Amino acid sequence: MRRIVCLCLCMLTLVCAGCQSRREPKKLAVANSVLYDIGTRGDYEVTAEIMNPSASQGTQKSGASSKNPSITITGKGASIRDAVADITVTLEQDLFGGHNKARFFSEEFAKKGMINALDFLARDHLADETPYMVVIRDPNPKDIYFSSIALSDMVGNYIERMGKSQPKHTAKGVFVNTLDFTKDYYTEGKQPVTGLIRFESCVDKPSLNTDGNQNPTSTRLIKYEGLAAFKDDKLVGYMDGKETQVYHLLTEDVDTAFITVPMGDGNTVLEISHSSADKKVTFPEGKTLIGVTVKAFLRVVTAEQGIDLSRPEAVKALEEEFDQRVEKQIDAAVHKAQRQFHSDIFGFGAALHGKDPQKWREIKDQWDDLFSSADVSVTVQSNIIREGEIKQPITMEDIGE
Amino acid sequence: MVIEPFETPRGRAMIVYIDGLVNQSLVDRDIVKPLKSPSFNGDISAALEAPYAEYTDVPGVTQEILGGNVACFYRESGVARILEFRQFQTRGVQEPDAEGVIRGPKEAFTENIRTNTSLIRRKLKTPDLKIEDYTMGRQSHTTVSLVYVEGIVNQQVLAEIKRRFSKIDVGVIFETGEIEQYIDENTFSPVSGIGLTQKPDVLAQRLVEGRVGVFVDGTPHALTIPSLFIENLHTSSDYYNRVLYASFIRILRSIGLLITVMLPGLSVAVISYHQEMIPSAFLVSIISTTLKTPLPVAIEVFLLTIMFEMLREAGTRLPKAIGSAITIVGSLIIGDAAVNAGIVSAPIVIIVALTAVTGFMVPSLAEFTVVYRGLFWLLGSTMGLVGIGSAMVLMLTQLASTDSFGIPILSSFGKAERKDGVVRYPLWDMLYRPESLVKDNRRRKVRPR
Repeated sequence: MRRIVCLCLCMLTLVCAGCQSRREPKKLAVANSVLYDIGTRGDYEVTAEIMNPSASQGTQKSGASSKNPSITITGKGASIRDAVADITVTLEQDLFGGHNKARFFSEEFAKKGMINALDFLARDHLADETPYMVVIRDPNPKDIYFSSIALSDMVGNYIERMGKSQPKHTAKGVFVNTLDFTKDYYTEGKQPVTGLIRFESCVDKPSLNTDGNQNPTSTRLIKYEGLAAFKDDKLVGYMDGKETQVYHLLTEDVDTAFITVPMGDGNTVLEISHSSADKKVTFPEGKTLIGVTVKAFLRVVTAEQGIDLSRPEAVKALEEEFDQRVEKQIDAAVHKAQRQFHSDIFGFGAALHGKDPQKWREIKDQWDDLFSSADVSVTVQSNIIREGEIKQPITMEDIGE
Repeated sequence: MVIEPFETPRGRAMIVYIDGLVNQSLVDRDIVKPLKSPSFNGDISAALEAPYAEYTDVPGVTQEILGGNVACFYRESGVARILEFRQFQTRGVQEPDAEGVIRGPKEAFTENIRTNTSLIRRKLKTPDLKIEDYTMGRQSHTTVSLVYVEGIVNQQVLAEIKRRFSKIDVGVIFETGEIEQYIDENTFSPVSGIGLTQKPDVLAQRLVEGRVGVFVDGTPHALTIPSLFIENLHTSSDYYNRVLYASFIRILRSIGLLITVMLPGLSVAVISYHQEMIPSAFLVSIISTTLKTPLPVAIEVFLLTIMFEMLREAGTRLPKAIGSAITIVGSLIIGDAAVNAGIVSAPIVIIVALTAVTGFMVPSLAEFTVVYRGLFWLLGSTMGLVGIGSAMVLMLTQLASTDSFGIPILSSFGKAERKDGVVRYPLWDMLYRPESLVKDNRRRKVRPR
């Protein structure tokens, strides 16, 4: 008997553990993406894209749904929490953030500082760390919900699917989730970045739109390219696709990057299949010197104008040309971060922190200035490891000459 | 009762028997005819043409007559000669109605205990096979047989069974299940420490692994003691099938057991507490289907599970032909109609159907499954995943603290047990008998192959 009483008491403590947030699924309004913006009067505006379950295939007998797959509701308030609460003034169900795929930030919001949003997201037990963080470079960020989203049904899903496929095809965008951003924010000597979206008006008729009802007159295309650079928690500037390639090269997370090298009359396209970057910071004679050595292993994608890659000297020339071009590209991007952003998004400081913690402790308070004024020397060592399935150019007559 | 006095050339004689239990033509041929013949000279032991036993006490004779024997009295000698001409209607050896196999012997025990002991003798032709008879039941005087293989059997278990047998005091016994309840120490445990089989090959297999078998006259089920938990996941054809397939099926059965116990509770916990764990696309479909149903998910799961148990019970009670019809009508038509009518949602029907189907994979654990499915559902629907975790702890604690005649039922992870556990090793590699069961004579055989 005593054992049973003991057991029951033990079970009661479990009930008290606080896991009592029972939510019936039918009472949920599942947010697919959230846009954080600053309103005209300087207050916060939070727009949630909410899945519409009655438009899902689950209840449809056949054919496509005639209802919108999602709705958007905006709330305003003095704090982010107030703005979220303001959404429920319109919404009859419990807003549920556990399936959020993307967090969009307007330019204005990001410039004002992300710290409030980060604090709110880290504190809330339902807000998870997986959604991608994206800055929208447009005066009307809400237009993202009226843009064409290609084959997807919701903007959040669109970004999530793109985050899984785009890195396999190009390194011109960055996909940073909330956890990565927070980690970068706390890492000494590395400033955070986020993904970047801009809109482009559609010149042709919007054939990209599969969902006829949602926005039949949508003329905006989403371009997910480049990155938004931060200093601490504030937006300081943008990088374009080519500069973003450099970011990937220097942070050693290149999946695939294509570099075009003009050779002769035509272009040769090389793919970086894997690469490593060795970052060194030294202080010769009171100056700061940043040394970068990038080792890249390349694949030949196309070789126009008949370069014969079966000849070693042709391969060598190609490698050298690649090295020069990429060195210039890296130089330009780092220069931009130094002079325009004053923000070490590439993590040179973190590299120094790892190699020489003693020195880092001495200079970390002035690192931003040291970084901005540092001299940069870039070395690229490339190695073509695959010429593709053919060695000779496909245009035989060129060789015959 | 037939009391038949008759005259012999040398005085009066009488035979007493119960009609319907004896072969009357044999009685006539071997008792009545020789005694009535003119050549009968008064030497009754020479005249009776069958072996007999002599009784002088009335209760003993009464018991023999009730047991189906013939008592033969001659003059006023005060001695009853008991002859065995037992013959009564029994069912023949047929296929078992449970424990069906594709490959392997298809015979099953019958209601006649002598048929059963002969079936087991035919499997194990060794003088070490011991069959000890007991008589139990104040009114039924049922024969109960203890079967074991001398030299392999665990003597402690055997002594314990005999001790518990001696304590049984009961009016009637018709089934091994009654013996089981009298000798089982874990009355309220949902998992029994005593195994059950209808098949001679299964029993023989377990006997040579040091277990003890129990037959009860009048039932085709035999008990095997002790029984480890893992045995519920084994079938006889696991040993007859080739090793990879047998292991695959065993793993499948283990997964099936987990699913049938945990799935309703786990799904309720995840759906109503931890929606962030469900893939988005599936969550949308759950929301959209539950939107139009009136009940909370937990109640839906509970009602459907109960309904399925009812259908199953109805199916077993009804005659076979109608039973299958009921099950089909119940599961297909009622399930589909309930979804269409908006009483339950389609994902829940699938969850319960999966639970039910996997439940049939381990039929010997039906009681265990029902009790713990309920516990998982209860804690899962009140506390979410914390509840699932605590139900798991409760279940494992209970299993780990359950003994079968002094042997923990979870003790199946010894070296020899592992070779015959969740997977089955090649037969030639099973050199030893399970060490938790067998204390001495552990070697099955000498050479691997």
